[in-house]
Amino acid sequence: MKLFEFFQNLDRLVFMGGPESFAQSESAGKGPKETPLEKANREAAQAMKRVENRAKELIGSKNPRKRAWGHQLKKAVDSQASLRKRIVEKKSQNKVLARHVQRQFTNALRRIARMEKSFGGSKVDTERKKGREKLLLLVSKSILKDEYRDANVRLMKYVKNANSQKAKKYQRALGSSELIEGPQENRSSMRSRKPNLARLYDKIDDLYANPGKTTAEIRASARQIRLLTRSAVFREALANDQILKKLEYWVDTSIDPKKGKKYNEARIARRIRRSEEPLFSAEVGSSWELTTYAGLTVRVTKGKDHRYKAEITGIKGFAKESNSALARDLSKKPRRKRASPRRRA
Amino acid sequence: MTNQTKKKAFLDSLEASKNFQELTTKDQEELKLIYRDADEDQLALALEEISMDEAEYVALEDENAKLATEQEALTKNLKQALHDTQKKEMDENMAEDKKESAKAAEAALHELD
Repeated sequence: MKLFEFFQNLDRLVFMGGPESFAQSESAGKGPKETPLEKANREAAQAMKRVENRAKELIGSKNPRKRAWGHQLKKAVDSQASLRKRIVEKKSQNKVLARHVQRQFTNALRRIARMEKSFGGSKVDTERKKGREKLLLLVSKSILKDEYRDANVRLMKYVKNANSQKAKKYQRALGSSELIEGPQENRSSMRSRKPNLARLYDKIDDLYANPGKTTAEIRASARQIRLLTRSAVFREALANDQILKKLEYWVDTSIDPKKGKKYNEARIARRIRRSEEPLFSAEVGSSWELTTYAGLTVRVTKGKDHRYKAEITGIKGFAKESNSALARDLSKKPRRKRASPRRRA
Repeated sequence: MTNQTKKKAFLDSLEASKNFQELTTKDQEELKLIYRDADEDQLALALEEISMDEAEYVALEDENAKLATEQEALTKNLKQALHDTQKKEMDENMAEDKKESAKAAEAALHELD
């Protein structure tokens, strides 16, 4: 009896300690594989944390020189923050995109196999060939349709997200004029208030409406729709609209009607630099052109070290009447190219 | 015969594609199975699909590699800044110690006086 129990336990011991622990140690050894990007990302986060902590310590020091070094370190971290923010965002976007590419890969392959099978072979060869061509076109069109539907679902999701984030930021429910519009909503008012977003929606609709005639063209359009509905593209459009709105306000409030072009340009640039958001995380070299409601056309370029360059390139309408010095300066030179025609005059 | 070689070529590029390799074994088997009776046009279209998706996959991978390099440079810069400060700090600490000991020596001398 005892001997039997012993063997029974032994059996269990061997079973529990055997393959299971082996499997565990194996999986612990492998683990989920860390990609080079993930590794670089982790190390960067660690380095930033360390420098931040050190800076904090030094800033708290009694020694003024050490305090100065602390501020220097803090500056070093802060100057990397926007770059890192961009990298981290891009990283997660790419992850989502990779999943999307993969899903498309399996779906398209499945569809190609399935749809061709549903085509009953006709007996005459030429007819059969014609039928196949027609069918390939059908496959492409069905992929395009799916892609467009997916695109709208994705866009609606982004819109919903962006609105809930906005409401959270304001800590209240949004009014109807504050809501970011989805692709289904009326676009005529959107075109003046959110030109970039409206343009994005228009482009997607246009690709769907005019995808081309051949299989290859239609597939390319479907692909283009997918690329345009990445969250990065959506966010960029929103950010640019926000920037344009803010820039218009800044330009309007910093123009001095008695002063000339140069003075006003410097004033606008300074005004932007002082309260940089939402341009803070924009890349160096980005530029925006806008025509204000009053009729002033300004091109703003972001330079190194968060410096901005504003260039007044056109004046008309109310702005021309009310800023005589500026109008005089601008009329001296040959007229430059007018701003993007999409902006309201 | 020709269809057979084409099918073989298709299966080869399917298996070589990274999008396929990332799939579960079950999905891989399914894809191979549904193309068992595929004809020429299907194979051509599917091959095109594979290469297009592969290009996108590779583009994403390249971009990720670039991001990794950018982050590595960032880490290196920060580490260098930390290192430089540490060095300066050490010198400063030494100078402080020297000053203190000089002060202490002076105090001792005064006491002797």
